[in-house]
Amino acid sequence: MSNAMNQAERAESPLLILLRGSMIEAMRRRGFVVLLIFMALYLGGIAVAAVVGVENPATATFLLNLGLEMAFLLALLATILTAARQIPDDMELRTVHPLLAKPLVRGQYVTGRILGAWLGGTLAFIPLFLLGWAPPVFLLPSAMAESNSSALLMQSFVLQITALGVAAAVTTMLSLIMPRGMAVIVALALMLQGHSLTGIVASRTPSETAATVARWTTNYLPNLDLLRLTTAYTDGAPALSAMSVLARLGYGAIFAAAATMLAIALFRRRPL
Amino acid sequence: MSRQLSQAAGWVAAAAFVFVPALGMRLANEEIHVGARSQDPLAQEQRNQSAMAVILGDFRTNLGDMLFVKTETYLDSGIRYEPHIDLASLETSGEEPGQGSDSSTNSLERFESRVAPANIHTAETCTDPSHNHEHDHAADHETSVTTAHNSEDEDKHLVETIIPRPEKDFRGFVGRLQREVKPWRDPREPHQHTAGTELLPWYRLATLGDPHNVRSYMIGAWWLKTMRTPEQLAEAEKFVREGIKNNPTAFQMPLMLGYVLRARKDDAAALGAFKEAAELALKARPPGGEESARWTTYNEEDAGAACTLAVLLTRELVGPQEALDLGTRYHNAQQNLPGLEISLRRLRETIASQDAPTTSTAIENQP
Repeated sequence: MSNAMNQAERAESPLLILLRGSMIEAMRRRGFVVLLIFMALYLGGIAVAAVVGVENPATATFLLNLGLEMAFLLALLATILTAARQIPDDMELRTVHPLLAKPLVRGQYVTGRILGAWLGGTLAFIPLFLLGWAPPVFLLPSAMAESNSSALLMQSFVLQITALGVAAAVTTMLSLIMPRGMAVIVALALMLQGHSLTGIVASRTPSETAATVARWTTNYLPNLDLLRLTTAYTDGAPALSAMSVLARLGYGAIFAAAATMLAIALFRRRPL
Repeated sequence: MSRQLSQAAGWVAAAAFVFVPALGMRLANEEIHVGARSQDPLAQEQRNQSAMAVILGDFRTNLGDMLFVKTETYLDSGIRYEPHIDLASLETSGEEPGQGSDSSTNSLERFESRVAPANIHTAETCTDPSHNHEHDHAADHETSVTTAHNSEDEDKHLVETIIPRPEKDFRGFVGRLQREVKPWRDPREPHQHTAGTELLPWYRLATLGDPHNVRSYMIGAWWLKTMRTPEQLAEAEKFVREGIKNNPTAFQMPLMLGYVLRARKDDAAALGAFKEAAELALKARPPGGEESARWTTYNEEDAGAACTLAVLLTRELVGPQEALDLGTRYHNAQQNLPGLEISLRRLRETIASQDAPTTSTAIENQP
């Protein structure tokens, strides 16, 4: 039996083994327990609100929005923390050497680490999302209006997972050019408010042409707001068209792919 | 082979990345918040009065909203009052039409000063620096103190501070210490409001955090406009034009642009802005102006203001007949627009009174 398992493991691609290892590593971290504690606090608040009663539908909707936003932000934090530590930890503990001694090229190693952080974040996001959505909907019925679109909720779910992929790739790339702590801070700032830079730079430019150039340039920073539809959902907006969802998925995929390629290029040039 | 494949993938990703800003800008301009329940002023008021929302502190649906809440504390000199922006009561106890306007001003100016953006006219966001908002918050208790009304009535109307006053504070020394070290003022005394212009950086931040925060664009532009220097008026125009770019379908933005252009004495451009605002408002307004989460009293008042100002300014710049034609077109497109029917009636009266002497002169000139 164990021989068969070993054979199966040997047959598995080294990339998949690395990916699985990264994911397990991520899930074992204490940070995930902390995220669940935060979510439990939120659920406690919802339970109290259900017992005491919520004064009006606007507050119930606010609580639903809060739960869904918290789920994404906590998963984003988990993804960024995992991605920022993986490669620097491997290099510091020298575990990168046995990994690269296997038939595993550097590009596969970086890709595996990014995919591992992404899947780890996604696995954290799924229960958090359910915890953020289901309790307010079932305990505070006024949180939902007839206009809330289930299709938009699903679109939001898929796009947020894509956003986690962008975060994993960008943070891994940043961890190769700056210390871990700095990478976490820069990644968080980029993911949450990077797009604000567009407005700041454009508003300081002297002419319309310069503003257009500034807007174009600063749009090379990822705008995760385009992949976050939580407020649109709780606002009762209709579902997006298939074309819009595909464009948003493409937007996320381009950023994730570009950051991954850049991370691979940086890692290839790095002396071990 | 796999190396070639990865190289090809790298080139494809790089090529796609070059054009990613175009995709990002296009997606950012796509309007998806059709419901916009979170931006609804009444829903915001309800949230602000909710105990649960107070427990959760200043956490709001977005940074722009959070910064807007911050401005309230800032405007009250750092003193935090219990949620008190009651839009319903403001609606009934707000300024009387024409209040504060000079009798020498024409009807357009009187109307402009009266309708000045309805949804931002609260004590915290007052657009007229000369307006005494001590009355808005504290008039009830001021009156109570001076005329010695009974204390129950006084308490009923009092806007309490978050840090309680001594009579209501069971904490003794700790409460006294808190009142000494934190910004606090007896809620029975009139509120002290700082100059609204000090809030401008907050509105700038709020719009940077959320470029779709129409309310912050409007209030920020209005405060800049009230400073009346050419530089600030230019800045107000730039700010509101940025708002239009980010919110092309928000009819309040060209309405505000019209106000700013009027202040810049560019009436022709202001007329264009008011007309644009009116067209957008007519498209956005539900039939009959029926109120809903998506169309509030404030939207209705702003829509009426946009149409009426377009008509009144057309009368000033072009002529009464053209103004009447424009107003009639608005009236035919949407019934019961606030203020418009009165303006149309007056226009008809003006045209009739202009015609009357002509007719009498013609009769007199007959052989």
